[in-house]
Amino acid sequence: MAKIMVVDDNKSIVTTLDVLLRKTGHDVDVAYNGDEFLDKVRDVNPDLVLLDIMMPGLKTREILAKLNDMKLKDLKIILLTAVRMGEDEVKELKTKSNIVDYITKPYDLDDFLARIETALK
Amino acid sequence: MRDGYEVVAINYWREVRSNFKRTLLDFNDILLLIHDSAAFDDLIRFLNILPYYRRRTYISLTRTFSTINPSLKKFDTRMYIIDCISKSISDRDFQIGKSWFFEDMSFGFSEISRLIDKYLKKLKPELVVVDSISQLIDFSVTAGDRDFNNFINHLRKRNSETLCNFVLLYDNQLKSLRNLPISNINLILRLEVIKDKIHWRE
Repeated sequence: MAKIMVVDDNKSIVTTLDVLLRKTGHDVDVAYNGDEFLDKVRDVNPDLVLLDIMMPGLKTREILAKLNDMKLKDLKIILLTAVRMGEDEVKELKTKSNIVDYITKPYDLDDFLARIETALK
Repeated sequence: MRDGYEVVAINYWREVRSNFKRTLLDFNDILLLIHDSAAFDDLIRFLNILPYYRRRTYISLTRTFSTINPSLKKFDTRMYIIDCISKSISDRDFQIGKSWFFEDMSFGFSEISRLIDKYLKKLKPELVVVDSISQLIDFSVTAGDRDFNNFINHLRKRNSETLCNFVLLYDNQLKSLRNLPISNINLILRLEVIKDKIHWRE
């Protein structure tokens, strides 16, 4: 069992992932924006973070920079997004933090769960 | 009904294949384009069918400029591009070009309305494409709350003032189309991209 943190401003996505991940035996904590995530992350101490790339408030690059400042650069992160980015842009994000995967919506649930298990290994 | 499906909505679609170009020629205010394709090439093909628009502005809420630009070159298509993504993911110093601009992401209809107004003044476009409003509204949940209807009324007002038309994309990949806003939008089209395996001949 791993501790996974889901960070997304879309409440229905958070609820869906929360239920799904608990069903597969994981412990789940959630946050609905970057500020809430940064407030909670040290206490929660997750094994993996599922981070939506587009949320109101702090931008993704700001969240990653703050994780760096908090000496949490090695925290494993999977980016969740409906946004289409270029390879260079994904590479640039990866240089700033420990982004282990990048999953675009809509999710194929089997593939999604498989990638989470891979990230947790 | 447990563990099964039930009918929650029925949408009626009118086939306009035979007079498709006529339909597009007659289009004059707001077009809602439902699609299930993430490929920008497919969108460009559609936009290039639309008649007589020389000054087009594409507001991207889903793709970065670097993923858009190759398609523009491939199809030799000119559009003003407003990239609302790149500034969120990169701290590079974004230089605006002659035809592209970088903005912060819009997280609601009032923010996107302000952005549209800004570029209506700045670029005086004949067509504005918003890709896509599925970032702002979910038609599986609502047919259009007050914010969405206010947004449509806002665009209609701008259309009467500037003659600019609007294409609003809605990505149907993520959510079902349980509630289409049929009462407030006159023209709704569905872009269907059919893909099949290529059988190479020896």
